[in-house]
Amino acid sequence: MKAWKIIYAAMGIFLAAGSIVTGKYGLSEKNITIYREALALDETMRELGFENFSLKTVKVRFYNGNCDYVASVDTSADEENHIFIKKEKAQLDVFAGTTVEADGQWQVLLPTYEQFSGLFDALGTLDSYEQGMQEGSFAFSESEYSESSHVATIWHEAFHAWQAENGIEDVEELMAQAGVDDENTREDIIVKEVDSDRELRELFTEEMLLLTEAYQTKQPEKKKELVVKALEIAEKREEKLTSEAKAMEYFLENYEGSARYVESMAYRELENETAWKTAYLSEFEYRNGSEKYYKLGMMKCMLLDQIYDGWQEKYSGKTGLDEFLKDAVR
Amino acid sequence: MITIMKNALKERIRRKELYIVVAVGILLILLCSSDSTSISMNGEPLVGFRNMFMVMHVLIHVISCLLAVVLSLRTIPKEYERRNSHLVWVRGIGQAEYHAGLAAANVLATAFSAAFLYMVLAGYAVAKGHASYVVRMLPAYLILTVSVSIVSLLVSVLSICLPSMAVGILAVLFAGFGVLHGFLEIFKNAVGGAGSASMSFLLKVIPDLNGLQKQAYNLIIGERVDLHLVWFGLFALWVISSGLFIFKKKEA
Repeated sequence: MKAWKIIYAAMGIFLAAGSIVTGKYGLSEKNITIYREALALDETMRELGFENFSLKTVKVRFYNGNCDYVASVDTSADEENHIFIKKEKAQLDVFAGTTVEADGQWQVLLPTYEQFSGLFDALGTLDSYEQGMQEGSFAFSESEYSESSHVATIWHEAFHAWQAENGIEDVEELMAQAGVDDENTREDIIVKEVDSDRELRELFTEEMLLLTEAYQTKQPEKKKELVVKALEIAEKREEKLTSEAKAMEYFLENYEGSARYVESMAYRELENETAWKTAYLSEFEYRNGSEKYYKLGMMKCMLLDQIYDGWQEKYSGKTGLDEFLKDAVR
Repeated sequence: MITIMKNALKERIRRKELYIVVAVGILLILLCSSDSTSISMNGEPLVGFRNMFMVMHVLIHVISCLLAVVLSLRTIPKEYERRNSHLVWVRGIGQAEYHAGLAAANVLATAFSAAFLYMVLAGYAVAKGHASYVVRMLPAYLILTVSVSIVSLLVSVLSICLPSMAVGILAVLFAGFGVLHGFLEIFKNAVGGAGSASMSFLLKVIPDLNGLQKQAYNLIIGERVDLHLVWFGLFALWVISSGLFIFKKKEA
């Protein structure tokens, strides 16, 4: 009996040891690679022209469902891009690609790549994925989401961190001015006040199609002409909007749209032209929710790249993308 | 102990619940395998052998977990109700050995049922021209068995010290959390707050049964298997089995 007990205890120790040895600890190699790939784009992204915009100055928090792994880079070290990974208490115990203020600076927070894959599985089954796409939370479908997409997401959020550090993204102030107090009603504003209005929907579609055509045409005069038409429609739309909807649209188009532009530029560097076009320049289809403004803002940024040299240097929350476009075609 | 196990296993084989659940399981699998069946996820119809195979694999796991609860719930209490236990005591057999024999019978009955369902799945793979899957299904079955054995063993252990109703509720919750482990991990993070904290605790305590199912599936389709989940599953089995020696029936 005693021998049997010893065997049983030994078996338990053996299984416990096996569990410990095969366990994964720390940030996975895949996420570290993703972070390195994002860092490798730093020079290219700096060339976009946003003042002092760099991933090297922003910490990236990978949330694994229990804690954050904070990735940062020591730029002063001899070895270029010497990476530090530090385990910290989770800043937000929720899955989100966002920015958080921690240790006196704005940081990127996003789920680990593994958690993101799990998130897709769960949301797909819970039928929430479609909602995420409409709200602009996801730019990619599950089948399209890859390591490059994760890198692009880091850049999207890094741009928000840069906006926040520079006082550009002051969504609270913008919403307070428009009298929108409850954060939860923001998505509803778009759905109730814009999407439910047939004329506004049609005008939005028209504006988007004109901008897309303008982006695609190679003739400078035609490009300008199309931009002017699109801006006229934008003004016509604006007259019909309530102050809340106007503030919400401004925020989405200028802050989120420009972040989507940065994200798409990162993705373009990593993937081939076809994959980039599939992910970001697919045929426009009007859908309820905020996502369309991400696309609209991104399209305006890409058009500005064609017709307004150095617009990024002047980019601020005060001057909207439409103002830049007006300057460009004046 | 072998004799106790054999007798208990024969008793399990005689029970109609086993056949009903297995028959329903086979029916569901056959329905899934029919070309006219349309299963959709997120509005998108699931088509193609691989998708259907995955759905069927998940289904087999869920049915097997359910079987584990059904087959193991009343085994030990019934033995005491029928006073069979006295026949064991007079032979000088200890409680731990007696309960271990009964629990082993529960685990084996569940494993056999899962094997039966797995054979139907293997038949589906062969019929669809994926005979190569069958060879890999053998080790995959062993991984899946770890998952269903956890449920069966836990129910057996709990049935020593708790009333059947309580065991049934706890077992369904345990199996539910285990089967939906991946989804609940995401869900708890979407919930946040106190709800998230209590769910975090439960998800730490309850083994990732769905993870084990996924590893079995990965093995079949030739993808990387996370050995940690398998080791942890085996360790969980060991921890639960210790309950057979810790918990005692008062009647004895």
